[in-house]
Amino acid sequence: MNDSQMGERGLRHLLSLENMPKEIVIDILDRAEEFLSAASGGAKKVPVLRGKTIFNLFFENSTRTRTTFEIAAKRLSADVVNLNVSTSSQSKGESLLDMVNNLVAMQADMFVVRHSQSGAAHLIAKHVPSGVHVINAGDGRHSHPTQGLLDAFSIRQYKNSFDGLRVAIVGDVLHSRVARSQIHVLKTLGVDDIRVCGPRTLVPGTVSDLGVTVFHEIEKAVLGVDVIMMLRLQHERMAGTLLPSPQDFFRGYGLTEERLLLADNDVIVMHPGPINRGVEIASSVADGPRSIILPQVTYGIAVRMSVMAVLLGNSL
Amino acid sequence: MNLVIRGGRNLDVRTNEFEIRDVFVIDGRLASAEGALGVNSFDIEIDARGKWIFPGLIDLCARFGGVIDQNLELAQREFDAMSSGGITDVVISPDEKLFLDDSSEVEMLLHRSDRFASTRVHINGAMTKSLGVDLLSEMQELKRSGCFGVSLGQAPVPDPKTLLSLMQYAKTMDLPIFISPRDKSFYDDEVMFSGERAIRLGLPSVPNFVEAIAVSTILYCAENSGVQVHFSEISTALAVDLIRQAKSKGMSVTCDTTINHLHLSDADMEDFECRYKLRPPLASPKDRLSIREGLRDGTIDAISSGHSPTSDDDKNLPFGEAAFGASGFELLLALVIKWATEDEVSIPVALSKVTTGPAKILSMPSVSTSEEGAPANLCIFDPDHHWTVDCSNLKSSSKWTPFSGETIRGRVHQVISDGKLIYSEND
Repeated sequence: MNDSQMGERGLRHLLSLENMPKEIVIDILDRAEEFLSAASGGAKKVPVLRGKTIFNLFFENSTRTRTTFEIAAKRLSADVVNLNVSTSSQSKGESLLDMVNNLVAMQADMFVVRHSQSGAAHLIAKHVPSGVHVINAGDGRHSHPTQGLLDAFSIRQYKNSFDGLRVAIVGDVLHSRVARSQIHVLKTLGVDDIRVCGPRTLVPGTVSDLGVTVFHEIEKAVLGVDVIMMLRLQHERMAGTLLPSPQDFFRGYGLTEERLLLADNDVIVMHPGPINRGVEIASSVADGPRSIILPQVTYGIAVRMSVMAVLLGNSL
Repeated sequence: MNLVIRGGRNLDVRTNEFEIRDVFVIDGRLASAEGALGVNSFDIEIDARGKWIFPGLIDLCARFGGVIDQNLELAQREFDAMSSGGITDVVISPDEKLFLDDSSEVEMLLHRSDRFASTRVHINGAMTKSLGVDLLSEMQELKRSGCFGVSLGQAPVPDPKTLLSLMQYAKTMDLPIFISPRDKSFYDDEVMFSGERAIRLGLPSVPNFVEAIAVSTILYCAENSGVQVHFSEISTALAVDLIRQAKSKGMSVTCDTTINHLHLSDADMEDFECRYKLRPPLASPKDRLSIREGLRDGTIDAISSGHSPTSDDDKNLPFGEAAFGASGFELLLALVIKWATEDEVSIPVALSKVTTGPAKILSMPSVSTSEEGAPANLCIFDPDHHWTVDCSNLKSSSKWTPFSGETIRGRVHQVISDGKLIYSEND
């Protein structure tokens, strides 16, 4: 883990899950569980972050992720400001750091940052004054730590323990920040058998440097696994020199009911959403009994609440 | 002006030996003790006891970016950086902010360097208009205005047909080509080399053979056109191998590497730290070893600063968007000495990579500290001074270098160019 995300009192920013201490991961998951059970008991909104101001800085459009962060902040009673930056000051030529400095002057307590460039959240975290926190909501191909944490949370809800788990991650690993975060958090939690699978254009051999086993045949990758995590295939990569067509990808790597039968009987199927039906996954699997795709969304809010509470709690 | 340097250890580049001897400069040229007998008093006397004296450095690869035509103060700082780094001759190549594709830019640059009257500037004009691929620059006019050679800067190497045509025209005008072998198809992804680091950080990356592809294309076209080629900023093992083979076949190609690629690999990078963002990117530790081997066996003729000034605004960006480049003038010499110490290369041999080696490539007349009548271009160096690179103290307008915070050995004390004292540490 980059030291730049640690403060004197513990986790100050959430930038990446790489080498994050296990106790911090467990603490975030445990607190998410408390928020989840409070919500199911009717107490959706809690006053933990009353008076705090959180800016959602989205340099890339993502209504879904931004909404889950917004709901999480509001349930913690924080004030939330959404800035869709791709249409505002960047087009006026204001630099990223100028913009952040202005928002800091407006007494921001936390930035939730999504950016198309790997390392953008690190850059902001390096420049904000102490007392201001940064959550990386996805930076380029590098990291999407809250997604990794919510995936770990989801697995824990269904599997109880991470010991001896076999996990397959299928799709465009090369360009996926989600896959990187999933791999890091699963390794921290003790999962040794992590398999990644896709054609060599999307899963080159160097991916094994992340500490995973590389497969190019999905039938072998999912054999006997407890968890299948499908990745979203971006539209711009569906037809070109990386892949000929979405149909061809589905033919080789789509998760079908037949392929699902090769996995463990109690396998769970996950996807970060939004899903491309008939590209990564057959509708019958996405909507079927092994799918936990919709519960993942619910857990995502609890996990994001937990991350915000942990970070701001460390500055109190 | 007459000048004497007393008591220093003087490098004789013919024998590669140091000897303690006074150095006399009479009317800008080196003189023997006998030749200086008639001089009653010297304008300047330098006490060089404990110091080394060797020829001024010749830096084959640097660029000015936007700083040279912004304002005189910034330009002055780059020249101060050069002279304080012991550099008496520098080759400036075009870049995306200073194209050097017409004579007015070349003349402006030469005028500025005359005005600062310090380091001599040798200019590579652009081979093409705006460093593009569709229009030759007016090379005759560039040559007339004072260009030494032509270059594409760090722009990607065009397709072989275009490249051959550029080389044929340059050969016709008797202009050598200085070229940084950047492959066109991989150019946009050449942010890092593929490997554990790139895959972990999720940054665009290229396989380690891309530089060699460009080198190979250039070698074929050079052989066919007969043009003299110098490769700049070689960074990978595969490229070193190709150049070694070409030399062993008898081709008269030459090359340099930079202080960055001599000392660093992608394993040294701190995550997303833009001071490590360089073109070419830092390669693997194995590549770095090959660069050092290439220097030892003579495949690599010279070490350059690779100086590329960048503004804070251009570097304070996410890694993928930040400008390429690092400041290098002030670090060149100390990092050459560091390499010599680390690899047990003799100091004279190491210094030849920044003195006699590049002088041959520039067809410069005698480079010497002792040859009577030779131009007096000298560097007086304190080998016992250890200092820590503090970016805020660099003279260059660009404060970005991967070596910031490192303690290095040796500091330039005085620099003499054409017999004039252009830098003195105490100033």
